[in-house]
Amino acid sequence: MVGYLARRLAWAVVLLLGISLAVFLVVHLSGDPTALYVGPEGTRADYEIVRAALGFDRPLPEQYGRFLVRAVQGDFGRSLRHQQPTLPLVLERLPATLKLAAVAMALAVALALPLGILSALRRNSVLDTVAMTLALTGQCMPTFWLGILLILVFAVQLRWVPVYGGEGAAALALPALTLGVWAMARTARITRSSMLEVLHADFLRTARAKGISEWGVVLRHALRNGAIPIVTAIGLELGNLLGGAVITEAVFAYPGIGRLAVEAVVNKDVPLLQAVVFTVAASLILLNAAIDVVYMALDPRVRLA
Amino acid sequence: MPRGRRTRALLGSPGAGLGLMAVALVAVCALSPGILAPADPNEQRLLARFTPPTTRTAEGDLALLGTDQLGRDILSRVIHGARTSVLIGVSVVLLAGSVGTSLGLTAGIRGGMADHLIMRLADMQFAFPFILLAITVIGVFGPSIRNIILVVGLSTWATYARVVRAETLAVRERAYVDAARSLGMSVPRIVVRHILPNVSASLIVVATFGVAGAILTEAGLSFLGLGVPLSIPSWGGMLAEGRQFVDTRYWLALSPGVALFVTVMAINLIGDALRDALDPYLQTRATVDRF
Amino acid sequence: MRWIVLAALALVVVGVGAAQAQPKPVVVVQSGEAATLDWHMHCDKNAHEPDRQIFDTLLRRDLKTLKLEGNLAESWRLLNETTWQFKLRRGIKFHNGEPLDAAAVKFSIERMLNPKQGAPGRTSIATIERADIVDAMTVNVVTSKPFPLLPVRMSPGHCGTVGIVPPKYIEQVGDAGFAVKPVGSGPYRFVEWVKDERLVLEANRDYHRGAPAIERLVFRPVPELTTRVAALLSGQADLVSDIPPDQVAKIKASGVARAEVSTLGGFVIMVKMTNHLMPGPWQDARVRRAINYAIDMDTIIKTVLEGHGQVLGVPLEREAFGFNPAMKWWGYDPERARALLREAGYANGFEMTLHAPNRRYMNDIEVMQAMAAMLGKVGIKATVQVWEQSVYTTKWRKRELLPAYMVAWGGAGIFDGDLLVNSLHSKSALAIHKNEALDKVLEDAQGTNDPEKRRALYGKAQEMIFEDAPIVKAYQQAHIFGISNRLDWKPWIDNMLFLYDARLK
Repeated sequence: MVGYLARRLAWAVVLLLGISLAVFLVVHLSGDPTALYVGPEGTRADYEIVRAALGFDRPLPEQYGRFLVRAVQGDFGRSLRHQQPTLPLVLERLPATLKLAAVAMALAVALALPLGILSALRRNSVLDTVAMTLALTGQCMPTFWLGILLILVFAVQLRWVPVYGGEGAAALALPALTLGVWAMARTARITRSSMLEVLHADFLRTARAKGISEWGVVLRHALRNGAIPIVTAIGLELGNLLGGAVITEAVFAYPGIGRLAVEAVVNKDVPLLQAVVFTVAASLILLNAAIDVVYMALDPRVRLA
Repeated sequence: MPRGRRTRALLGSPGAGLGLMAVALVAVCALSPGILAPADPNEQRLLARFTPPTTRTAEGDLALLGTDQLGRDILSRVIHGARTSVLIGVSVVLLAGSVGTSLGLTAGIRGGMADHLIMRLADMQFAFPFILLAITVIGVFGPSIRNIILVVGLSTWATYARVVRAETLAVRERAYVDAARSLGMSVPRIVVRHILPNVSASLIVVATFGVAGAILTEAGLSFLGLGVPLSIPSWGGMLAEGRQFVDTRYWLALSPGVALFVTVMAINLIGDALRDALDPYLQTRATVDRF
Repeated sequence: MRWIVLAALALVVVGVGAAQAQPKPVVVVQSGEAATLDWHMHCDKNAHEPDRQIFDTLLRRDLKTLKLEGNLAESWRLLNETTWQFKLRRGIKFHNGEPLDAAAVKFSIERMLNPKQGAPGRTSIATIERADIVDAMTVNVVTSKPFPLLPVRMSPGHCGTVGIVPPKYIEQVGDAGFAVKPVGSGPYRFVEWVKDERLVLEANRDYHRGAPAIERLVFRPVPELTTRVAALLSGQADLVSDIPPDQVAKIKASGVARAEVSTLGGFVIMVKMTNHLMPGPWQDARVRRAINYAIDMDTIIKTVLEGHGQVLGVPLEREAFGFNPAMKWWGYDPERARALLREAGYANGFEMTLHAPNRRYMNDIEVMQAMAAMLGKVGIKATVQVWEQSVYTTKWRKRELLPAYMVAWGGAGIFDGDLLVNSLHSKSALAIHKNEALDKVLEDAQGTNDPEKRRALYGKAQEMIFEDAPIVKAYQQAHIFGISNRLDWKPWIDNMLFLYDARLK
């Protein structure tokens, strides 16, 4: 276990290095961002002053080297636009995004599991058809479109929730629903098919033969055995959720890391972008490691390699 | 499953039947938009902006689905938009599929260090919300169909690689590959003769969902202002441009929205049916990247 | 599983209850968020809007006559060709109690001038050499050569203007602290700033012109336009700027908000063409004039902008000093355009790219597409290339948007012919056209304090621009604001949000 986690950590470092180099190269391939930080009336000389002040006059390998040396010490430099250390800027927004993603995921799982299980139990019933059509519909809508429609209906017409902001659940209801729909649809469908597969397995026939009630069979035996693919799917959705947050946060003016990311890209704020990318990748690596642990708990046969 | 039963299973599902019809219609639009579209999709008639559907414009032409903010014919733009969506969807899948398949095969056949490296690369892709990279790359290099295909394609190959690798490992363990090897067959021949036919079913299913995912991704990029250039009609672009009119001039976004929705739904239905018919064990592995 | 669903539903219900809060502050919704609130350190509309409430300037403009008048300074005069004297009003304090005196003014001006400070607006005031303290309430500003624009630079504008900042406070908290917790002497004082969520200001009871009527102001960044409008219509927002014309009818019909248009001093938008950076037909002035005659800007404004604009010709606000209202600019005359193209040897037309920004100005992409279609009618095959904001800015700096690109100037309350320097002098950062005779005239106008000489020179410049056609005829864009019905406020210029005189009905 410890060895496994250590290896995993080593790979994570390699992965982060690769990602940071990719971001660095992509931004610099189109020329340095100096132009964005000189006033509109600035002259050529002003341009050179700013360029030197931001360090963009140094050769690229040197710039990247400096970045790495500082990053190892936990310093991701100062944001070009905010003129402040980047890591705090990112970390103060990270909880909001994690909260949004967690609520979206909880909402998705809370709705998807019962729907999927019921659909599997009542295969080809009206309920099954309706549930699976809904799930499919959720998968066919662009995120931004769903978000805008939800705002127009629930915030402008019905005024049940605010367009943005608000306290507690009101602030999260629409964005979490928007972000969670895709995960909900996928999880519902996977739960259904995974349950269908298990429900016909021999050990369940034995259980039924022993006189255990159908719900008992489902909850105690089938769900446990069908859980692994479901957990896998949820793990895969995490990356999608954090990615989807970029659009959801823009639509709902939600103060999270996705908006910061877009802002960093738009302003070619390389240090800020590096910090965002690092934080997101690191959170995902941690979450995925956590999921592996859940795996082991679910099924002792799963060996971590 | 014997081929005859597969076909019947595929066609027997009502969803798949409808899906096939819808996809056929989109394909016809994509192949010959010029013949079907009543007007040039980029022709502007500023004095006939915002003509509602089924009414005549100020100039007397009938605009079946209405005109947009520059007086362009929406029906023509939706028909031409099919070409963009199909082009992006198919190219992305071809790119991601060929990269993913080659890497997956290499990993599966070679094993060892190559396997390890490739699978960690795949992990890296899964572990990272590619939209961050996509907005960076497209923001920097400018939005074009080529850049979108490259970015989306190169960020979705990992699914293919995983599927192909898993299948390759399974096939490799089967006796006949060993037999082939002992008969002195070269590795490429083993791949072509024995492994590819066995993974093709899984690949087709993954690819089907990949097309749907790519079409949705293009729409998301359009929302961020990073979609295909405006001179090329695309559903995502029309939907993004029409979003501010959704409650005042609904028709700007309605038609491309319906086209996109129906197409993605149709592809998903076909994908489901294919999966049920070809490879019932794949369902938990296929994933469509999208945002 | 059921309890999870129930819990989720309960949370939603509780949340809805909590959303109904007490009396609301006035909420201004912006398209983006400020990176810093240090007036000297940005060129950002989203930062200027709150900063204009927090900070104050030596002079201000009468919103009706556009004349400059005293503000923090009660009077000012030209002592000699290169020295301006400002006499400060007594008893004014910064929000932290620090006195606003000659030392604060000297500090503010020299802070912006200091190259190490890296103020992006430095170039605009670089003619200033230093500020001298004469006595506690008197400052002399010394320039290296005549600087007719100096009073304008001491009044509220964009990043090239000097906001007065508190020296002791800055010394105490440092630049980084000042950027996130500013102290000024304006009508509202800073309360708190939750990044990406809200920036809260409250009325400054001791404001030298009297306390403002509104108790609390909240600035809120909302990147998506449909969401901003939805917020206005649902009663969550009181003020939304940059409303596209197609949203006006909806807002008017809502019964909760209204749309108001400011036609004063809006953006002056032009398409610049190069005559030396890229070979091609556009190097010929006849071709550039032909392009002007080919474009029916009136129709574009009537349709694409739904009437929210006015054709100017020269890239200068109508209200600007030196604007010649008697000039006749290129009309819409496709026949003449074709004739000019034939004369220049391009009877069969040619291809050219027009570079456009992505939603920087009102319906900018549509305007460019409409222009391209009109050029097509005289045989010029024009394609519109749209760039994402940051790339666009980078490329125009590097003069890579060739042969033609759209850009706006003005909208910053400068109201002076000097704007032509920024848009057309060949040494200006954004110029892609070179006309040395025009450069000379513009430099001469910068070098004298005599208004009549300057007016004559700007008149001459306009005639040269008409001959040379370095731009496609400019138009001035009006700005539309969505305002909630409970807020009593009239817009002035888009970039110049003054909320001092706003009140609740």
